[in-house]
Formats: sequence, structure tokens, C-alpha cells
Amino acid sequence: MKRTLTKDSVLEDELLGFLSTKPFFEDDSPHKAPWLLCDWFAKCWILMARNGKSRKNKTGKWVDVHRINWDRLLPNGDRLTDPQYADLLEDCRRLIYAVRSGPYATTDRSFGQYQIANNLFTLINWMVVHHFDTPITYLRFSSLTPGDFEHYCENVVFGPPALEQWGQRIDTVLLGLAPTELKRHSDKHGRISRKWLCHQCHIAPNRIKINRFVTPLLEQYDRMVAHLGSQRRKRRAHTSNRERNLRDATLDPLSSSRVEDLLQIWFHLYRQAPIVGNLVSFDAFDNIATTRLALDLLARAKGRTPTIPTDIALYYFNAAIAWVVDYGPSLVKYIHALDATYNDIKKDDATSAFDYYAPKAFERVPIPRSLAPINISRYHAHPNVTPKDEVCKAPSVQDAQQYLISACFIIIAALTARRHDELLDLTVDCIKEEFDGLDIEFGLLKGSARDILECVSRPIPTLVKLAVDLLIALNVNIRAESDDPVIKRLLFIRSASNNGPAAAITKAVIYKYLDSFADMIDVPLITPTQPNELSYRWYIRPHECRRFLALSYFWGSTTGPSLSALSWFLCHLGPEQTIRYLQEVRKGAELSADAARATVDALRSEHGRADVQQLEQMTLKHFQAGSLDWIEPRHIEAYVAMLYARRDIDFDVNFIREQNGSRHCVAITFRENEL
Amino acid sequence: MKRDLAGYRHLGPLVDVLCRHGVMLLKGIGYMSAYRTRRGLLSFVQYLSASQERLDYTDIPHFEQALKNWRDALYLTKSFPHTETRNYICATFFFLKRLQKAEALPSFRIPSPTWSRPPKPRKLKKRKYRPVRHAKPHALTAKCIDDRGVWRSYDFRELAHLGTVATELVRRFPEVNAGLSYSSHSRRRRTILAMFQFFKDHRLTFTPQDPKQLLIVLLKFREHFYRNRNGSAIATRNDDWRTLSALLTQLMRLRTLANVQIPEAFRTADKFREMNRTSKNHLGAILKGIRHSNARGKTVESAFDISLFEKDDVFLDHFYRDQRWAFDLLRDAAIRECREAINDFRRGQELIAKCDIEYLRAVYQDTGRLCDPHFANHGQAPSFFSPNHPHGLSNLLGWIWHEHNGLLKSKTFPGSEHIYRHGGTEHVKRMLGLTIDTANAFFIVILGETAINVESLERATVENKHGQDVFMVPTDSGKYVRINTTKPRARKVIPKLLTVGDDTEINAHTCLLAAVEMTAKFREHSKLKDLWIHSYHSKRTSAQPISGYGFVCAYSRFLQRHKELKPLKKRGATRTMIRGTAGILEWFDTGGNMLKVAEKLGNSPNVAMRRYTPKEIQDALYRREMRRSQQLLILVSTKDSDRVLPAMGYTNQKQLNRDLKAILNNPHYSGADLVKILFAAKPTTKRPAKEFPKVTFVISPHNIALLKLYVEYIRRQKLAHPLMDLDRAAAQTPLSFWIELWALIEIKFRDSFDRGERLRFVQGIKLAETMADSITFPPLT
Repeated sequence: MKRTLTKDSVLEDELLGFLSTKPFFEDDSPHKAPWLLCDWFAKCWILMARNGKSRKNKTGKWVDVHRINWDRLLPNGDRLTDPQYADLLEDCRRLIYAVRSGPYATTDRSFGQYQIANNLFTLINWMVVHHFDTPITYLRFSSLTPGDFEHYCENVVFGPPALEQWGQRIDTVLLGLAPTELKRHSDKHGRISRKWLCHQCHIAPNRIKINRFVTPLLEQYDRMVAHLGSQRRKRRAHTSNRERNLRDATLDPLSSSRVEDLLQIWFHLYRQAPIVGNLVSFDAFDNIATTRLALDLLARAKGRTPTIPTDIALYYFNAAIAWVVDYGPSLVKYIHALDATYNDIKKDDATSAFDYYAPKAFERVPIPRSLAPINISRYHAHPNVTPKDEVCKAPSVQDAQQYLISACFIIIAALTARRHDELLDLTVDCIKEEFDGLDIEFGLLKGSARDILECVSRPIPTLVKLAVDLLIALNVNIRAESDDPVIKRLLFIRSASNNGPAAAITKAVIYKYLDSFADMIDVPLITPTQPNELSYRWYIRPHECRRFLALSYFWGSTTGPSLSALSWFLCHLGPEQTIRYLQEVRKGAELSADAARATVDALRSEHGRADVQQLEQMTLKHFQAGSLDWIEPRHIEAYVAMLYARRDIDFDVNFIREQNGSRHCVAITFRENEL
Repeated sequence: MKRDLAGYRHLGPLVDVLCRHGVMLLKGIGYMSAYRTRRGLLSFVQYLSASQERLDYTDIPHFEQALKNWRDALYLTKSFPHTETRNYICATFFFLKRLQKAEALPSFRIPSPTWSRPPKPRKLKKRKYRPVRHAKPHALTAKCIDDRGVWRSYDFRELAHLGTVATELVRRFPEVNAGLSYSSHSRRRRTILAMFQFFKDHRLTFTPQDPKQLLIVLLKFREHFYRNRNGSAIATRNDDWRTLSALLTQLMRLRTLANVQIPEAFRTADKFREMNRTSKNHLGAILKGIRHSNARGKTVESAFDISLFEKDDVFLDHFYRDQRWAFDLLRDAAIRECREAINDFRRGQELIAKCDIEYLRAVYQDTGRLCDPHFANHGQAPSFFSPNHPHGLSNLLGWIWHEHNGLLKSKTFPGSEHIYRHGGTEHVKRMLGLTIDTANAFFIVILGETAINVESLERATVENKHGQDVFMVPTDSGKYVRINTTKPRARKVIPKLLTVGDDTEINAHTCLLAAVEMTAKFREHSKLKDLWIHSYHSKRTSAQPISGYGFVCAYSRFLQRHKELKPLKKRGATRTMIRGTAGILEWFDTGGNMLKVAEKLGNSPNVAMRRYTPKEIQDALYRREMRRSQQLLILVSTKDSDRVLPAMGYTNQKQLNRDLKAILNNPHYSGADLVKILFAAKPTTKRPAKEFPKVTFVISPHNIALLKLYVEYIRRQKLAHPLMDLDRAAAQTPLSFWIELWALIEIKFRDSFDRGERLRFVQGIKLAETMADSITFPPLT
């Protein structure tokens, strides 16, 4: 990816016109972008999101938008909005504006803009930490040189904490303190107060919260403070598979895409320089692609969605189907009955406190017999201190409601294989009747044209309609009461708190629901291979469902795995994109039987290739046979499966470009692991 | 007159008056006057009806104005010459005056028949006067005025079978359509005729006054209307339907039809499968949009009418069957021809071998003639080539073969007059080598099997540029032969593997071999490298390559020659389509694997899909595949619970069992992880696996001999039933350990064996073969 820029073309009037004719940040300027929902000089920019959900709520606050906060805390304790940084701030604003609406715009999404802004702040922090503003000059981008870029590249693979030297800064604050003093600054959970620490180090508290670089560092100090016993309610009952990976990867470099983003900001500074002015004057990458540079800097390969083990996935689906088919209808009916009783009581006795009605209603309405296995014990959610196990054993009505939503979500996600954004954007009338069955209609998030979400429909089984109907029935009252058109339209909504305003379910909320659902249905734990590790639980995510359907479909048919059908269903741009799903190295032996079968097919049909020959020789040696034809395929399959399980060989599927032209074929390559 | 005006009763009392007195007053006047009066009155009434005015003659000023308006309109329309128009108006007004005299009408002022601002009279000199068209209007001819004021007549004689209903409709037609454009008229006429044609074809009774029955037939017609017009776009269909619906609504207002809610047009085309012509490169009938009424093979074809609207399974099935049917028809015919041609050629070779060419030459040298002196009868010797000669054909072929290099040139060949008695030129040519028709048959067989580009195959050569014979290279296994096909447009060489067939079978390999063999003699002297060469009808001394046009003509003759290929000829099947169909069939057979298609066609996957596989078929297949996989996922997730049925959306166990059976029988799913899980528990619940007995057994030479016998027996069994499962056999027979041992000897051992143990066994058996004593083996697990 070579990027060159000719200066002459930049200076054309038509490109610069929007800067010179009238200030484009004024409200009545014809050039003001429609996505900027606030004043140009606002401390916090509000960016309109692309999916058309951005709106004002009753209180006049914008919701479903992205915000860029200019009032940033710098490592020296200053704020970016301070007067001495006024020029820098203006440059930043113009840059962020130009990346979406300038003549050299690179993104059309608010999230992309938001990410670029964050990376820009990292660069500014790095400049402050490395004293670019001393002795006499103000901080400015134009002072950066190619030498600085090389300096920046040294630490970039470890991310912003390394660039901004969090470790040194935290150490300088904490090392000087005695344990007693540390204890003085501990919070109610018995850890060092993060708030205090952030204040001391000039780091924004939200950045330090779950940072894989800082967490282990602080844990060391936390151990020095006497542990008082955590009072917090744990989100999950067991260690998650993700936490496990996070702990392993503390000192790993960042993924290449993340490093690429951090490097890319230098390119933006160069590219937008003619528009914004006062930015860097050199192309840091010259002829080198950022991807290659990121890999040269030893960034980790891109992290992909992990493959959920088949038995765990099926356990989830079974439980979700049970909730939707067995409990769902009666639960919805029960909740409606509760609501009706609640209103009656409220009408009779208008004086009592709010919390009073719901338990009363719960006492009056009998629980249906079909809901007996759930063992609903109360109306309101349990207090925070209640152990997770007890909550799962005797959930409240509100909990059950959440479980039902997560069950419906899992079913829809598993059978439609949509991305989480697309799922949460589903509307009430998303089910369409086609002449060969039901279809679901959704806005395609990736692969749609600029600013418009393409409406696509794909086949679904009747079970999904059941789930959607349940969700509609569950929230029928909320939807009727709300004035918000978005709430009326969206499928996944919830009442935010007790009788609070209704809100759309966000990604974070549904993930929380999914976690508690997993604990409630008691998904079997996975025993790790290493003896000293703890067993962990696989908490499901929508993209894993997508991947599971794709893999099980592709590897599930022996003779004709229809790649194009899968590509069509997943709404990919082409089969090359789909093959990436199948190309990734599979961890563990989740689908090893299929992999083995595919391997054996290749082994028996393609004799010529070098890697195949190698495996052939291994196999023959193992079986002490003269030819593969003598051995039964299933025996070879068993053998190959064993090899996978032992990680002796690895498995890839590739588009192979043959010598004589552009013929593609699916092929399997083998390489012995360097264990 | 009564009949003419009967339809306008609703316009008011004037019509009654006209009807009552008309007949009486028209008596005694001339035919032409009476005719003009009638036409004029009718036109007046129609005009009023079109302008939606009421014939209320009591409202005198209004009525007078109406008369004036009508007069002006009639002048303006210019449907007749000016004077003729005036005649009509005069006659009409005169009639009205007479009515006034008879006191049938009140006395109002009848305007002058002359127009106040008459237009320029037409130049009659230039244009010959033509009498009025439709001088004798049929009862089923409707005449109505259009938006430009022109009177147009429309024929409805097709509705004659409807009797009075039709007359009524036709009478109403001018009324409801007056003032609309000509295109609207014709569209309305077309749609209503289509509707009645449908009723007639399907024997539906059209009862205009029975609302229930009317609605039913209308609904039926709508379905038919949307289904059976593959050619037109859905927008056109919708417009047509709306036109018809407007017409019917108007008729209902006039009480001609009972009042029903006319079914609406479909909003979108989603409900109906639109077959666009996304890909024309295959033999299928659907995409060509050709009706199947004349085609043979009704069983296949009759299915297509419904197939467009069936569910995906049926639709795909029909499409596949059609493709397969067309493909097989072509291929079978070609194979028949190939077989005949090859047999003819072989027979020709035998006959040539029998021919004593030296003797013929000697006789020719001696006598200067080609008559056989041995068979001379009274001085008359028969020709060597004559059918009366016992070796006539043999001599004929031999002479051509040796003296003319196998090329039949009638002008230079001395015995050419005998050829027609030996079966004709073509027959003799076939015995000598490749003819253009044989080449075509070979071509089709090769094309169907390998799907090589037509151009590439036409230009096939037996040697490459460097003069090396790399035409067909056998592979190591001997089962296949590799050929290189060049694709000129892509400038690349694509290797293809052909299956080697035996002598009886006709496939691409045998065809190519035969083609090479048949042209070998031609090639000797011509130095041509081309594969397809033949002897040309001319004085040219060497064989000629078959041109592209020659192939096209031969293909056309081929379709004509075989009666069963008539439908394909009607569809305009070309050779490129054979290639496309071969690709599509491959696609179906591999369950929609586009990589396999691409491999077969030699294109990139995207091109193969875009150009050769119709989009609609792709979508239908994708939908089916994905629906199946979703159902499978639900089934596997809920396999042991009671909620399988509601989750799958079924009402009874039968449907579920049918699905399970389908999955079990589907070869695409065998061995899939999910399917294995699905069927994992079943056998154990039914029949617990038997514990394998621990057997200690003794192996002696006697036992070894016995074992070998068993091994031979099982091998035979395995050959006879390739799908035999050893595990099941082991569980069922008491000879299970023998089978295990056989597996050991054949080095086909199971997972259950320990490697060390296995080695011991193998060595032990080898030892036992040579030793006289017996060896005791440890127990088998």
C-alpha cells in the first residue's frame, strides 16, 4: 500500500476553497459537516453515528453518538484546553474534521474518527512526556522530525502505556511510599485507590481501569496493602476464557492492527498537512506499507475470534432453546400479569414508596407451574453482596427477564450469524415472509455504501421468529409507553432501571446479560491442559456464534462445502473474505475430526505436493504400510486427529495461486510444529 | 336503434323517447338518411355519456348547449370529410325536429348544423374519398372516442362464446373508455381478452352477477396473470393489472358486473421468482423463455410451468432435471453416432487389409483398366469396384487408401460411379477416416465431459509448437490421461485429466484417440498438425482442417438429423451451452462448490459463477443449503430433549423422522462433526456394543491356512459389498477375531491396537508360517 501525495494537486482552489471562502466551523457555513452535532469550539465534540440512531432524548442529551473530549489531561498535569495549547488544539480539531470531511478524508464513520482522535492524543501525550515543549517552544506537530518517528517506533508495539511511560510514572509515585502510607490510600475494596493514583500520575481514571499493562503492575502494589476482602459482586462466577488470555498476554506486544493504527496517525499528520497546516512535513512511511512496518516492529498477528468448542456451543444453544420454547411464553405471560397487578395496587394505594408495589404484586400473582424449574424467588434483583451461585439458583423476576433476553439473543445470533451491531440494530418488523420460508431483514454494517446501511435479508428457521415474537411481547408495554421512535422501532430494548426510561440494549449490557446467563445455565467448565492453571468457563459472544455456524457449515459437508453459499449468507464481499474464517489456525482440537477428514481427503487425492508427501510418509511410517490405499480412511483420520490433538501438525486452508495462472483451489498445508 | 341505445338507458329519459319513437319516425326515409340518423344519434349519446352529462331535455338551455358542443366536437374530430359530417348532423337534427313535431320532445331551439367557424374543407382532390370504415359494425365491435377525439373501433369477436355477456360488455366498452388514450384502450382490451381467454382455457364459468364466484375466478386469474408472463417485467404486469382492475371497477359501477373487491396488484416481485437472463450459456429451457408446447419429452417440460413458483427444493430439482435431460439427450445422440463411426472405420480398416492392392496395380499396369479379368464373362469383365464384384468394397477402399492417401476425390477416382451403390459418399468416407459429421459427434462428447472451450477444441493440434507429441500424456496411475488445452483469450494452458475408458465405452478419451487414429493417414502427407482434418470435396490433393463454420453447420445438421433433439433446436442450443451445462451439472453434483465448477470450466471462480451459473439458481441453492444447516444445528442442539419438535417448527414426529432420514442419507453430511454428534447416542441406546472377548489363540500352520481362507472370503465379501462395515461384521459374526487378524495381516489395524502389540503379532504370524510348531499369543484386547 504505497501512499504518495503530489503537492501541486493539493493547492488547487477547489480543494482549499472550503477553508478560504468562509470559516467552515461557523454554524451557517455551507461547509459545516452534518455529522458535527455541536459547536466547533465545544469542549466535547459530538459526532453523529452512521447507523442513523443518533438522536436527542427527552432531556435534550444526545444519545447513540460518539464523543471526542478535547479537555484532555496531559501527563504534565495541564489540560489540552489550556491557553498555551490553543494552536495545537485548533490543529487537532481541523485534523479530526478533515479526516472525515476534507478532500483527503480517510474514514466515513464516527468510530473511525474517534479512534484517530484517541491515537492523536496518545501522540500528544508522548510528545509531552518526551518534553517536546521545552525549553521555549510551544507544543506543535511541525517540530516533529523523522528521527522522532524512529524514536516513537521503538516503543509503539507495547501501546500507549509504554509510549506515555505509565510504568515509570506509577513507580515514581508509589515507590516513595511506605506500606502504611499505601494503606492510607487504599479504597473500600482494599486496593490502592485508582482515583488517587490517577490524580497523582496525571492519567485519566477511565484509561487505567482495565488495562492489561497496568493491572499486573498494580496488583504487585495491591499485595502490599492488607487485603480487606472484596465486597464487590463479581460479574462472573468463574474465570472467563478471555481473562485467561489477557493474563497470559501481559507482556505480549499489541496486535498488528492496533500498532498500525498508532503508526497511522503520522500518516494522517502528513496527509492532511496541506489542508490543516502546521503539521508534519515528511512522509514517515515513504514507500513502506504500515502493515509491513507494524509486522517489522514485531507486533502480534491479528487476534481473531476464537473458535468455541462444539460441545460448549451446543450446550448454550440447547439451553437457549429451552428458555425460548419451554419457559418463554409462560414467563412473558407471567410478567404481564405482574405488571397488571402492579398497576392495580398502585391505583389503590398511591402513597407508598415505589419499592413496595412490586413485591406485593409478586406475592399476589401465582407463579405458573411451567416456570417451576427456574425457581423464581423474588421480584427485584438480588443485592450486590449475594453470591453468584445463590442468584443463579433462585433468580428474581428481573433476572429471569434478562435470561430470556439473552436466550433470544443467542438463538438469533446463532442461527442468523450476524455481527453484534447488526443484531442490536434489528427492528420490530425484521421478519419477512418469503415464498420458501422466513427471512430476517437487517442493515448491513460492513460492506455497505457510505452513510447508508444496505437492507439485506437472509433465511432463518421458525425458531428465530419465535424468539423475536417473545422479545416483542416482553417489551410491548415499554414500547407502548415510550415516545421515542427509536425505542418503538428497535427489537432489543429494556427498561433502564425500575420504572426508569426505556433504553436500547447496548453491546456492554448484552455482554453482561450473556455472562449471567452462562452462569445460570451452568456451562461446563473447561479443564486446561497445563496442570497449574485454573479451569475456566467459556462465556459466549455473538461473533463466536457467527464463526461457529460458518465453520460447522463449511466443514460439515464432505463433498461440497459450498464456499459461495457461506459467503452469501455471511454477506461477505467475496469468497476470499470468507476463506479467512477457515484459514485461521485452530486452537485446540475443537473441530479436529473435520479437519482430519479434510486432511485425509487431500492426502488421498493430491499426491504431488511436498507437504502432503511429508504427511504421507509420516502416516506410512506409523502404519508400517507400503501404500495409503491399504489403510482404511477412518484409521488415517483417527491418526491425523491424534496428531492434531498432540499439536504435532497444524492445519491451514489456502487459496493457492498456481504457476500457470490465477486458478484458485482450496488446499490443505501441513507443517510440523516447532514444539 | 333500440338495440343500439339500450345500453344508455341510465343517461335519462331521452333515450327512452328515442327508442319509443325512433322506429316509427324512421319509416319512409331513405336507407342512407336512416343510417346517418342512427349513427348521428348514437354518436350524440356516446358523446354525452363520455362527457358524463345527463340527457335531461327538460333543461332546455343546457340541452341546447350540449347539442352545440356535440356538433363542434364532431366537426373537430375530422373522422369524416366535412360535408359528410354535416350530413350526419343534419340528419340527426332533422330527426329531433320531427320528434318535436310529434310532440315527443319539448320545443327547444335546434342549432344550425353548420359550424360557426367551420374548418377548411379538406382537399378532396388529393385524397380519394373513402367510405366510412366499418360500414357494417359487428355486434362485437366497440367504437369509442379517444383523447384526441378520434373514433377507433376495437374487435371483440374472440368473446363470441360468451353470448349475451360479451355483447353487454362490448356495449359498455365505448362508454367506460371514452376519452382515454389509444394505448389505454388497447391495453384494456388486451387484458380483458386475456382474462376471458383464461376463463375459457380453464373452463371457469364467468357469472357476472355472482359476487362470490366472480371473486374466486378473479383471484385465480390474478395468480395465472402473474405466473405466466415470464417475458414481461413485473412493473408492466402490475400496470396491466391495475388497468384491468380500473376497467372492471367501472363496469361494476354500471352494474354490468356484481360489486366485488377486486384483488390488488402485487406490490413487489418478491413473491414470484423472476427469471432474468443472467446467464444464457446453458441448455435450460427456463431462461430462454421459450414455450414448451411443441417440445417433446412432456414429462420433464410440463413440470416447468409450476417450477418457478414452487419451493426451492422443487425448483432446483426441476431445473436440474431439465439440464440433465437436455444434456443427456445430446450426449446420447452423439455417442450413438460416435459408436457407428468408429465401427465403420474399423470395418473399413479390415476391408482395406483384405484388399490385394498389388494385384490391382498389376492389372492396371497391364491393361490400363481396373476390370477384373478373373470374372470376365463373354469378354465383359466387371470393375474391381463394382458391387457385383465379390470384393468390390474392399477393392474400392483399398485403392483409395493406397493410391489416393485415403482421400475420396470423385473426380480423380476411376471407380467413382460405384460409390453410390456402396452406400454413398459419406458412408465410404466414414470407412476411410474422419468426416465432418463424425468430428462433430466426437466434439460433443468431448465437450460434455471436459467442458473445454469450444474455440480451443476446434483449434486442437496433436503436436505442440516444438513438434513434440504431447497430445495425451498418461499419468503414473494409468487411470487418467492428461491433455493440455490452450485458452487463446486468456493466453494460458490448462491441463485436464481424462478418464481412460475401455474399448466398449465411448468417452472423451476414446473419442480423442479415435480422432487421432482416423486422421493419421490424412496427416501423413499433408503435414498438418491439426486434430480435426477431413477430405474436402474438391480437387485439392491433401486433407483440409475443419473450419469453425464447418463445425457449426455440422452441429446444425446433427440437431436436425435426430428427431428427439427438436426441442433443443427450438431453444437454439449451441455448443457453448453444452459447456455451460456441463459446468452447472458439476455445480449441482458437488453441492454448489464453485471451485469445482471453476476447475471444470477453466475459469476463475467468480467468472464461472457470474457467466455460467444463473443468479436465481445460485440464490435458491444458497437458501436451501443455509436453511438445512440451520435446521441441523437446532436438531443437534436439542437432540435428547422433548423440545425438538417445537424448536424445529414441526407438529408431529413424522416430519422429524423424515428429516433425520434425509440427513442420514445425504452423502454431503456423512462424517460431519454435528451429524456424528446427532447419531452418536443412537446405536448405544438400541444395542449396547458387545464386549470384545479376550481371546487367547494358537497359531499353527494349519490355522494360518484356515486364516488365509477366511481372509480370502472376507476380501471377496468386501469387494462385493464395498460399504460393508467391518465393525458391524465383527460384532455380528463369531469370527470376529479372525477379522481382526485379517486386518493385522493386511496392515489395516484399528485404533484399539497398541503399536507394540501389533508388531508382536505381525512378527509372530510371520514366524508361525515358517515354523511347524504353534505359538501362543497373548489375549487380544
